[in-house]
Amino acid sequence: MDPVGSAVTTETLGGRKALLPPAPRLRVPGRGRAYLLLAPAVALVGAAFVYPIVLLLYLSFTNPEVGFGNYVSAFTDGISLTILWRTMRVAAVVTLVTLVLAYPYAYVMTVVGPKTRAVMVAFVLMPFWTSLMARTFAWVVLLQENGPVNSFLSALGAGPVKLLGTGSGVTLAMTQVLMPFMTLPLYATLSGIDRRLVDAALGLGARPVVAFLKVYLPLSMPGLVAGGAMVYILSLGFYVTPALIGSPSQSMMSQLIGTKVQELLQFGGAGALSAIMLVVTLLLLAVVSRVAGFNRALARLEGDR
Amino acid sequence: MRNLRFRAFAAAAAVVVALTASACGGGASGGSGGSLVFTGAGGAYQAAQTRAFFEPFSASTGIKVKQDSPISYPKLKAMVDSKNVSWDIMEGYAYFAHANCGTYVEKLDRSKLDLTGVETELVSDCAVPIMKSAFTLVYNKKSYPTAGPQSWADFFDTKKFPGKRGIMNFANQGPLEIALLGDGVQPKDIYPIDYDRAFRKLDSIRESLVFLNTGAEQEQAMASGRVDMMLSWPGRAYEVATKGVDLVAVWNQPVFYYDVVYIVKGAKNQDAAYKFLNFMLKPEQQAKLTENIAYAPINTQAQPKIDELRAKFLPSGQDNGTGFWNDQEWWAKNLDEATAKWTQWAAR
Repeated sequence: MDPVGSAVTTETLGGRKALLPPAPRLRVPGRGRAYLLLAPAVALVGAAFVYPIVLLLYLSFTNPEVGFGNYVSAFTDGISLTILWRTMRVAAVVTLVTLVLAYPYAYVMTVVGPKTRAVMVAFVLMPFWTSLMARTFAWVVLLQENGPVNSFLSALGAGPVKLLGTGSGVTLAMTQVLMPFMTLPLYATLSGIDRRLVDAALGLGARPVVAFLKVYLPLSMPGLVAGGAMVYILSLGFYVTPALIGSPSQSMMSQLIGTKVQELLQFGGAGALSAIMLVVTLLLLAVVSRVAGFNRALARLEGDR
Repeated sequence: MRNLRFRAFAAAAAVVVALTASACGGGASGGSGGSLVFTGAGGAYQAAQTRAFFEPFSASTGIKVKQDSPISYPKLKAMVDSKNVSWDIMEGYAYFAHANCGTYVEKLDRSKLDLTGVETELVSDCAVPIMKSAFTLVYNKKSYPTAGPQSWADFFDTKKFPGKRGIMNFANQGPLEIALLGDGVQPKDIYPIDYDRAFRKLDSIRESLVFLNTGAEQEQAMASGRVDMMLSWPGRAYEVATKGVDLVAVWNQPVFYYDVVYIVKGAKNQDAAYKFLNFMLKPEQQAKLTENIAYAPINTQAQPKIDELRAKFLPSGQDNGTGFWNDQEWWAKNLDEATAKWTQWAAR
């Protein structure tokens, strides 16, 4: 699975489509056979993704005994729901912070020259150049009480602030990791927006804030929703970052599932928690796409051209 | 980055691998002296085992020891359940072998074992000991230059000894036992563990606790001063001390534990496995292990040559009889419950 690659591709295509005139319909010879090209990917996803998921779901209803026992205990054990709620909350906060940071950044990327833009893209992609473990340990060193971040804050008279072992520390580290997943889809969409529309709004007497809210922001919705959804879903599955940066009070669903598998050998219980997460995620996605009007936004973008 | 689906995948992968793959590992009857697969904890510990056990064993018997790590009980379970066992000998908690004796772990044939010099109370139906250590109190001299904490009661006394206390985020790494000791319970009355009392005691210093997940984290926390004292794995504390951090190990009521090795149920190379078990228990091999890592030998005839610093972090009688063994029977029966209760307490 390569979320980055797919994000960039689909969003770039989405953005481009808005710029280009409708493509003339070409007759593609042998379209049926073309589907064969999908076979390797489908086989891989089927074997490495669908099959394990189905197996896990099956285990959640059958291991250690047939029935709904794993689900009942997930809802009554006094901790799973707490952690589920915490996981969703942390993911929401991280998504929001990432959005606030990434939107202006992506906007600036659309107005600077190609050289500056290349540098900016490099900065966005930097997190991918080091391993997650190394990066997370780097955060541990940076955030600890006598670490550089706190020395800096103390020098300004604002420290020391407790970051390691707290929710803010976890949010900070997660945001850094997830920035590219928000920035790149946003940039793809923003770069496709025709800025003359904003000029037109201004020319017709709209105040800049109104022009932004009524013209620019709605046009940027596809990137915003795509980036937001991706960051949110990825946040839900974080494991290493909350484990190393946070304390157990920040532990998230993956850690609970990990405990079930690695320490308790409760594959069924882990399966039930995974299934609950999956359902919650899908429901959220359905709601978001409806409320935020992902499809409508996309349709409008295309319709306006 | 691990998203939800990846985690789910990882959880199921062990099962899938066991169900579908059959070609990898194990099944090693080829070669001159045969071979066997040993699965251990990895890292510096397994490197020390390589020097103390694996290399000399291969040199003297011609049997190749293939290594795997980490110790993964889910993987073991999946292997045995699917009757596709690629490991022969595995290291682990004594109570794991105890709780799964005959199901996931082979019952040992005592007639094939040479236990000369081995501390026999550590040998069970299914496992032999391989090293011993202790969960003990280690503090940083820099934090307490004049008088440091001397007991578990001091560990829980944040007025007398302010500062951060490191503990491992696992029920079975000593926190429950030391909470009861800190609350005045006598070692002989620790088991069965009174969860409520232990968690109440832990709650009293919760704000000062730093929870750690791995040995590497533990080392980092002690080296950087993130914790002022630690319910520690003394082997790790020793590693930090060698780098010049002034750590003091307090040998007052340490909780002794030992690791065991056992034969995986259905292992393919059992004859070689017995030979290897006996080899690892020998005094010379046990001494060599201690010379390579700060764990104590379980063979009383072992005479490791070690320096003064290492001696300070090895359990070797400095506790004056105040230490006690963590109760393997109790842990064998209650690990799941204790872990669930710990998660509920720690993660809330």
